[in-house]
Amino acid sequence: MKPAYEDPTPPPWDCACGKELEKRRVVLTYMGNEFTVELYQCPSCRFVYVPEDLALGKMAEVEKILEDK
Amino acid sequence: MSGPPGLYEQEALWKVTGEVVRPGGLEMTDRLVELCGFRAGDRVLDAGCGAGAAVERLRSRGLKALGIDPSEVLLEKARRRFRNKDDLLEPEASFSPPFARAAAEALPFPDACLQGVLCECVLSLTDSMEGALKELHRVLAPGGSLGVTDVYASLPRDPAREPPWPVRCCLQGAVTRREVEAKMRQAGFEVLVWEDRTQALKELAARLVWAFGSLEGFWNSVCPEPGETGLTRRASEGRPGYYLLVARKVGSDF
Repeated sequence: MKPAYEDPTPPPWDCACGKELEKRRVVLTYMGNEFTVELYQCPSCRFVYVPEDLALGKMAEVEKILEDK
Repeated sequence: MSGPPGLYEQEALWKVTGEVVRPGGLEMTDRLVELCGFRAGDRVLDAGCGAGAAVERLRSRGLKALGIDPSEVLLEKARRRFRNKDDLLEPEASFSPPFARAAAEALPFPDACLQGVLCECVLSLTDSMEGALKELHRVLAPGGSLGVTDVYASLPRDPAREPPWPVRCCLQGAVTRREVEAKMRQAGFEVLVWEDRTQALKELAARLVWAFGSLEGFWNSVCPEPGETGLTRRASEGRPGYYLLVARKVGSDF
């Protein structure tokens, strides 16, 4: 299935462990809903980089909808 | 059917929903089939079949399914779906071809000829919900099952008194559960099951945000005139929810 979100902003830095982040499909889960999106992730630590504009924009609006606010 | 273009005909929306242009997708169709208790060989109409995905699903379960839809754009997709799938066709002479162009308020079928009707995300789109239910009742055999999914309003509203929408969508015709059930009874149906499926509507709205940046961005992408504003607010008026309903035709009158 096509990811719900593609083309994330490239991260301005590498992971704290020194590895370069890679664009990967990750599954975000919120209130029982799953969304497959493309984000930059550390291949070693598995930490996912969420750009600020995404967190304050789409992700905030999605949360608002799912929380029925 | 007249008026503005249908939201369900917009490619921008298909990119998010696929060809099952409604909340819940075919999972909801499967639930309706289960609750209606259809058996292989039953004649079942998908009223508002769109691109025919549910008709294909029903046929793969051995039902003699057929579909009607007022949109020629979507019917062409439905016909393409069935090309080279002879195993899914096998229609009786009187039920061929499986797709016809028609509105739910004027069905091209004789009285009492079907064991079941599915009507998914359609009733709130019709010009007359009462007229559509009357027709669905007419074509169902006595005791036949009607399976519905649709948008409803949690708060009372009067769609007829609101300004027209720039696109035809199910949010504009949504009425309350009490009104839906009253219209069902008036048309000669006994409501057997009501399930709240609002989560599926929220999940679709969330996917639209992921794809279009915001709900406002989505409405701007599907409206024929650029610069439409305020549709997100209008869409949330009445606090829309989504339901799944199963009803049975009572009485033998058409």
